[in-house]
Amino acid sequence: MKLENILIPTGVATPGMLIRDVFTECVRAQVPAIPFRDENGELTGRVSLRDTMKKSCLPEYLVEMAYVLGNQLSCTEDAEEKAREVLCQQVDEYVMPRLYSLTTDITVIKALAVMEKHNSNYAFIMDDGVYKGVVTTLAIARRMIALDIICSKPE
Amino acid sequence: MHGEAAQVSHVIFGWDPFWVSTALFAATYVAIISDRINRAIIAGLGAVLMIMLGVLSQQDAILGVDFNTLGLLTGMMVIVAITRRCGVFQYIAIWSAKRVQAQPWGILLMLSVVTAVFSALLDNVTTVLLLAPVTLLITAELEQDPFPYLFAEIMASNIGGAATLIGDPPNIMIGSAVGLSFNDFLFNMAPVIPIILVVTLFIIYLIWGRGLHASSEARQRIMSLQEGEAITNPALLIKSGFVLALVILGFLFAHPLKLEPATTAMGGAALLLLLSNLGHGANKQSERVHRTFGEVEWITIFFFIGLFIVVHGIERAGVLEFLASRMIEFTGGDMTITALAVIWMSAVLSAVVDNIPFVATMIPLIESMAPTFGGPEQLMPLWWSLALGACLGGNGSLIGASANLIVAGAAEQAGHHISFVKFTLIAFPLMLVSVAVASVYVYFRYL
Repeated sequence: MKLENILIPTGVATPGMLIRDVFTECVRAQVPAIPFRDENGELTGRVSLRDTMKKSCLPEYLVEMAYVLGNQLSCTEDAEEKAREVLCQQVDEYVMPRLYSLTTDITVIKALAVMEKHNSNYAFIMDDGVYKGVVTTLAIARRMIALDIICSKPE
Repeated sequence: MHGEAAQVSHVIFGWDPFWVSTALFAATYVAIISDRINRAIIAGLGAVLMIMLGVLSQQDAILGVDFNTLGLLTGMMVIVAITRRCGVFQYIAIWSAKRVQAQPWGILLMLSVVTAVFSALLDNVTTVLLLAPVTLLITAELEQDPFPYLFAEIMASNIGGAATLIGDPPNIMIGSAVGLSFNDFLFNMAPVIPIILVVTLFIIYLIWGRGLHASSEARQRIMSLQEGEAITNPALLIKSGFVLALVILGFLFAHPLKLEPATTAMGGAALLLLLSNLGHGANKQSERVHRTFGEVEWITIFFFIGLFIVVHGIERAGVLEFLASRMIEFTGGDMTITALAVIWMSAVLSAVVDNIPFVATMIPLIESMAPTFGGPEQLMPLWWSLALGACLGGNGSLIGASANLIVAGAAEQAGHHISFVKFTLIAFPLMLVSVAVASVYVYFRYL
């Protein structure tokens, strides 16, 4: 199982890009995040769906009080307006620091170990400074299933 | 004046231990106040230098550490770390908000009372850490400025914490050093605390209370909160409640049981660890115990250890005896003037510097006044003055107590900046009022 067969090529976020366009790319490629390339062409960060949603919609106290939240909340009364407000913002203030990136020649188990170390379910793949794509736990699971392994039922 | 101390010490280059320890103590204090480096690091460095420069031997330094204080603090931290996981604090906070039909002033009042009671029975830092998110949620749903509510909770946490031996670190330190029990604090501190709380809340009502209004839709949102969902582990709630009750009983009956507070707290911590880990395998138990110990505020514990040694250094070098004699000269050896000086000085200084190092310094200083006032048993008015001044003084500014900073941090994360100046302009006069009430109490009860 080679990493280059598992990675998912994606576009990258750039300064001034709208959140809407980043979300569109993540949904199209079925990845939780894409890298961020700065004005100098360097991959300096990442934009993830989870971090962006947390930063734009979830103050810490809502997370802390998650279990007790009722169905009537002020922030849910105009959800469409809130969605528009978030999607139409520029991506720049939602850029997170770059994670450790992997190369295509490493093993899948190392990729999984690195993701676990960063408490993440994705990692970016780069060869000689050139961005190749994202590897995700979902993509690895998809690849495992594609092996068509037949399981015998336990006795 | 300090020749004897100089003879028993072996300070490098033959320097005078009086001045070496004073310089180290002053440098430690300045570094703590400047808040540029973590306070546990500063206290640790100060302590090590006290030994390395020869003011204290390592054995002397260890003698200066009050393990009763450390045991009580650590034990209670473990109990609170486990108890908070069951969600009971959030449950009670939301339940109390609903009891007043989500009326803004009623909520402010209830949350303040809940904060004061929890701060007295647990500790005020944990209390505000758990109640600040509830307050932010409630005020967001009520479409209210959270400042009056958070301000009232800060006041209540420091006032409530003053009521008992375990409510605030200064009380733990004083109780341990002087041998005062939980009941001593209950009989001497607790009577004045409700009065101070009522006076403070009345002033808060005059400032903000009359202007707090919310629409029926907003109040309905509070009424729809599901407080029952906060209790995530009912079995843990029962175990925690049982152990907490045992610990409180242990504090109340410490004298006939001949138990030091640290033994009771550590015993409760060990019992709760046992009960909460029953039924789990060895590996899982290690993981859970490790997690619990990870929640103990080791910064505070190591800060205490370092401070005890630094203060022991100046005590051994005769600095505190010297300061005590100057203070007695200043007050003319009059108990009333000395007690009032202690309460007001403690309050004002605790508002601007951390009250933990201040109280750590004041304890041996007051102890050395015993001969002037006719023995240690005559010093009680000074101990209660110190405890009231140091605990209430924490309300004087945003940096006066750890609880204040924790609330400010939670508010900041939610996008509500609490400015130092805005807070202090209201808090400092309010603190002075509370200290005035405490002074009247001390005067009529002890002087």
